[in-house]
Parts: sequence; structure tokens; C-alpha cells
Amino acid sequence: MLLSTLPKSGAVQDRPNGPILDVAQLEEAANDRALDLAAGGLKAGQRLAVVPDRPVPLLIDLFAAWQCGALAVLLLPSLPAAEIAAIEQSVRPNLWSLPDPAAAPPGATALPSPGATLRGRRMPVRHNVTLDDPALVLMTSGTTSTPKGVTLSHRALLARLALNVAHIGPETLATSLCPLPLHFGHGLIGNALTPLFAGGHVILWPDAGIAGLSRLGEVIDDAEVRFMSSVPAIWQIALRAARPPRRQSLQRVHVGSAPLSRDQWQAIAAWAGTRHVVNMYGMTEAANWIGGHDLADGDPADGLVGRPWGGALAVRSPDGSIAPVGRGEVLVASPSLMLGYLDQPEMTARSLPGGWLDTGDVGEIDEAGRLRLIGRTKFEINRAGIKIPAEEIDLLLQGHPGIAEACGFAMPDPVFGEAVAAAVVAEGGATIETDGLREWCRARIRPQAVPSRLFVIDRLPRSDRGKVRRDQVAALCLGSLEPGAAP
Amino acid sequence: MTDARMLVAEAIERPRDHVPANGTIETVEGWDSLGHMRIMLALEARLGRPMETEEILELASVEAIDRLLNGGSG
Repeated sequence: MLLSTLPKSGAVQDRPNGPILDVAQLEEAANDRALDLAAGGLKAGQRLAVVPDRPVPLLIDLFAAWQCGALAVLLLPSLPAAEIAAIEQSVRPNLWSLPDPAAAPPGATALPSPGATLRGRRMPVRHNVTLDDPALVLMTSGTTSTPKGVTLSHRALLARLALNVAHIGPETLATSLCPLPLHFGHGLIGNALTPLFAGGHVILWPDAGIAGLSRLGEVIDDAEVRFMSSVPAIWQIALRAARPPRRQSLQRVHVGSAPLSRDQWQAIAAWAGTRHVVNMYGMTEAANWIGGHDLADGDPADGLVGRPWGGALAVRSPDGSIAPVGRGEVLVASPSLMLGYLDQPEMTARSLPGGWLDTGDVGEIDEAGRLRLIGRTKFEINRAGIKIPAEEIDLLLQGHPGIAEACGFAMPDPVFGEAVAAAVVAEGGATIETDGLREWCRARIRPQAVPSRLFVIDRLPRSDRGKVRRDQVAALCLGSLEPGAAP
Repeated sequence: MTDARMLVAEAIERPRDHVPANGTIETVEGWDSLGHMRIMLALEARLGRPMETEEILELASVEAIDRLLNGGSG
């Protein structure tokens, strides 16, 4: 559905100076791939699990799944076999697309990721889907705890893309640079599909690395990039390693997925040569961006994310009342809200009370309708823009035979913003070797969720009612570090 | 003497054995751009000075880091 709405002027490019596929070629490739998927047994309403290797094949798989009337489930690359197996159990894909089909779970039907060759075949039958059919699942947690697969409809995606283009402007989106991977909302919806929907040319460069980022200014100049969006951690590198662009092509820069400090906000603006540096607020559950605050519109402040781009913001007070102004738990209403969490109706109902999305963030909305984020109610670790539920770390570690109980928490990190940390209590006085425990975790969970630091303690602090006090666990462990010690 | 392998291993959160003496940013799993910045911060803490832009790009191997820290004595 989305593919047919893309202006023909759009194009994707795999890396700077890499091969370019215009929208007509992308459509041809998706049609071709849809035939492969259909031959692999994928039917309308079924699920295609996509483990991406490169961003362009990911887009081809995505559009091809939709040509088949199927639901695309995007997964992290480099998942350990244990998580792949868990996804097979919980998500139950009908077909897998992986760079190496041998990495598919035992017994699963799998195809290799699509190649770049255009064979000119066309899908003879297109399955009509409705706007409210599920289109895309983005996994926001692993499978150690209850998996959270955010399910977005075609309508939510189209609404979000239309709002993004309306707020950014098609001229600004004419040439974009995407330095993020496409398996999560910021990279896929914000950075890749939004420019395509505006008829723009988007350079996909998720693997820039340190050498690539050191050339960021040159790349922006060479391609005359007007728009880019990324996360604070990427700017940590670019601001130190790259000379600024010289041709003044950048018109707008978005920063999101993790807190942006006021100092870094100003530094990015000075580097980019534009005051249009926007601190974005987004959630996968709202198809990525919810709103943002443009530095050009006023002084930066920590946590200031501005007004919503379509829909409404509100805060819920401790007494349960909902108001458009004031301080409380942040609620979002938006035409791009998710259908729900995949196969999790109870979790969905808790997250969408009364039609609002309960964000789990705490904030303050001023009289002008601008939101400033000041905290969180949920226990989530934001590692360089990747969100990891602390409860998932608890459950993972508690699965180790030498551990009686465990508690994950966020630890400040100078590069990631936050890193995953955990306290563990040994079973029956057993000795825990933390390096070995980390490797045990690495075999069972995605790399980003492996604890950076493990603290072995005698017992977990609890409330009077016996509930583990995660805040006290964190204070106890972090307080044990020597001042200035590396995390 | 500072163990360059250990410094890299700690920064990228892997055991020392994961980082061979001839390891580089291209060959050591987990030594990505974010890991590299953690290595640079660890070096800054060890040396007590900020790293120059050229150093950030050049210090992309265990051997180069060892040379900086120990004059290449291993």
C-alpha cells in the first residue's frame, strides 16, 4: 500500500557513492521478491520475520511482504541463536528472511535476504489490504521477558509519514542522510520512509563506523545533504572526529531516541551550521516521532521536546485526572498509534488506556503546550537509543543456575548515555565470576542488552511489602564505585 | 605498564582473551564506533589529556594503542 503512494522522484542509496535504486526500481524489486515470498509459502495475513543485513534488502522485504498482504516483523541483526529460537516460539513467523537461512530456527521455512538483481518479474496477484490491517511489527524488547512487538497498521504508518512531511517540508527532505539502522522506528520510519514519502533521495549509511563518521562533513558536502536524524551517541563521535560541513547544505537536523543535553544541542547547531536542530520525542508505539522542539524556536533546555506533530499531549496526575497542562505521566493521542502489542491484548489494554498511549515518561506541559521530559515511571534502560526493559535483565540473570535473584538498572555512561547494569545475589553462597556471567548472557540475549557492569551483593533491598526497590539497588551499587571510576 | 588488550577489552565489555594482540577495529567483534569512543575515553583517563582528532582515527588497533601507552613494548 505504502509503495504505491511513493513519488517516483524518490530513491534510496546504499552508502555514500553506493548504488542507487529509484522508486520504480524499488517497486520492481519488491514485486520480484513478493513472488519469492509467495513461492516460499507466505500468504496474506501471515508473518514474515526479517533479519536485516543491509538496509536496501530490508526495504525490499518490507514492501514485498506488503505486496503479499503479509505482516513484516523486523528483528535485530546479530541476535543469538537462543533469541532467534525464542522468537520462533513467541512470534510464530510463517517465513523467515535472513542473510544466511541456515541461521533460521530448526524446522522454520527460510529464504536468503533479497539480492540487488532486478529480474523484471511482476506479482500477478496483489492482495488488497485495508488501512487498518497490521503492516509492521517492531520488537521493543527481547524474548527473555514477555516480548513486546509493537504492531503498526498501514493507516498509522501513512498518518505518521504524512505528518512528518508536513512538519519538516518536502524541500528539506529532498536529500537525506540516514546514519541509523532500519530495524527500529527512528531509522526506518523517521529517516528512510519519511524522505521516500516526500519524494526525496535518502542515503542509507548505518555502518559508517568511526572512519565514516570522521568524514561526515565531507559526505554532507558531497551529497548536499539537507536533512539528517540520528542519536546523541553518534554526535558524540562526529563532534570530536569530523570537520564541519562547509557548503551550508544542511537545513535541519533531528536528534532523538535518547536524551539530548543542552550543551550537545548547541554544539550540534554550531557544527551543522543551522539553528534548526530539533530535539525529537518519539516512541515506537506512536510510529516513531511524536513531536519535537526546534532550537531556532527558542532556548534549549534539558528534556524540552516541544509540541506534538499531530494529535495531542496530556499529563495524568497521581489522582488519575488528565490535563493538557501541568506535570504528571505523559499521555499521547495520535493518528499514528499502534494497534497494540503483538498477541498481547492485556499488555495492549494497559498501554492504551482510554485511547491514550501511556508513555511511561514523566513530564511537564507548559501553557504554550510544550512538553519537557523530566523522568520515567517505567524501568527502562536507554542504551544509545536502544530501549531495554530492566525486568528483562532480571529474568535473564535469574535463569542462571548460580543466581538466586537479580535486578537490572540503568547506569550513567559517557558514551551510551545509559548502560545496562545489574545486581546479582549468588545462590547458596556460590562464587560468581562476572566476566563469565557476561559471556553467559551474551549467548542468550542481543548484544545491546548484555550488562556492562555486574555487581555481586548479599541481598536486594526491598520495601516493607517485599518488593525489590530498584532505585535503592542502583544507589547501593553505584555508590560502591570509586569516584571517577569507569562504569 | 598498561595492558592495551585489557584496556580495549574493558572498554568494549569483553574478556581479555576476546581481544588478540593484533586485533583491530575491523577484526574484533564489539569494537564498533561506540566502543571506540569508550576506548578513547579510557585512554584519556589513563593519559590525563584529551585525544586529538587524528589520534581518535589512528588508534584503531591494539598495537597502536600499545605503542601510545607503552612505546610498543607489548
